[in-house]
Amino acid sequence: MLPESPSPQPPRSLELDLSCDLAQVQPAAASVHRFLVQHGLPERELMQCQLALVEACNNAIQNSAVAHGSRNTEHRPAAETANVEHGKRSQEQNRIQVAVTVEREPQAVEIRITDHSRGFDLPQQVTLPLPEAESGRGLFLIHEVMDSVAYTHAPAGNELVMRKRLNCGTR
Amino acid sequence: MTFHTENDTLHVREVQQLGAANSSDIRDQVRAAFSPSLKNIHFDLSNTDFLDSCGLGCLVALHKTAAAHGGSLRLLNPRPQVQQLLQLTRMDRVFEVAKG
Repeated sequence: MLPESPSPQPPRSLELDLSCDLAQVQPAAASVHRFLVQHGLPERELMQCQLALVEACNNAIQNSAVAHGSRNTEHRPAAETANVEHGKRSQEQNRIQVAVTVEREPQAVEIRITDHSRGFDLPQQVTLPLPEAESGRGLFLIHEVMDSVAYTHAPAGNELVMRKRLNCGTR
Repeated sequence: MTFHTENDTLHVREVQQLGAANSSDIRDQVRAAFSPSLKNIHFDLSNTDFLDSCGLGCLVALHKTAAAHGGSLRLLNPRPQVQQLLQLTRMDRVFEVAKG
């Protein structure tokens, strides 16, 4: 009987590209969830990384839509996005793509979101909006669940880097 | 998403995701089903496995809608990850959260 071969190591990083469509965020979050499960992340940290990713991608896509004068990105199925004036818009859509990289380090997870929107100013301190506010909690949630958040705004692209430290040293 | 009316309460069920991609649509559909004779909204979150800050904004909007009718919004059976989002944003102190 042959000895059992060791299970293959999951890749250390995951890269995803999203177009300017909010409907792509949840499937991207599901992919990141699977990736982090492969790496044995505890449930709590996994949920926190997923939440930060969702909020960051929502922000990037919404800012991109505003910057490029797109109509509201809600309720637009991915197929429609691909078909509407495809030739004319494909160049623009390529430009406003949101790139996601998730890297599993020995003691941390790093999530990097790159976009080409007009960007925003990341405040030093993010406070909760009033309870009756219907928006404005995304950045607060990111700061709340991640250990460090850094944002650089540049003509070549904006980059949001979020890190989550892990207590366990296991893969 | 399904709706069911009982006395002065609109029951909302079977919402799997409540996020940026569909939160405005959900809000508008619930408001359309919330006839003038109703007061309360009971939003069952037992099937909701995805909630983000935009989904939370939708719940705030429905909270105001119910308050304008002299009633309230009650969230039922949130899953642990949804419950954690409510706690992180302190909205568990604003909404009535219950099992039922």
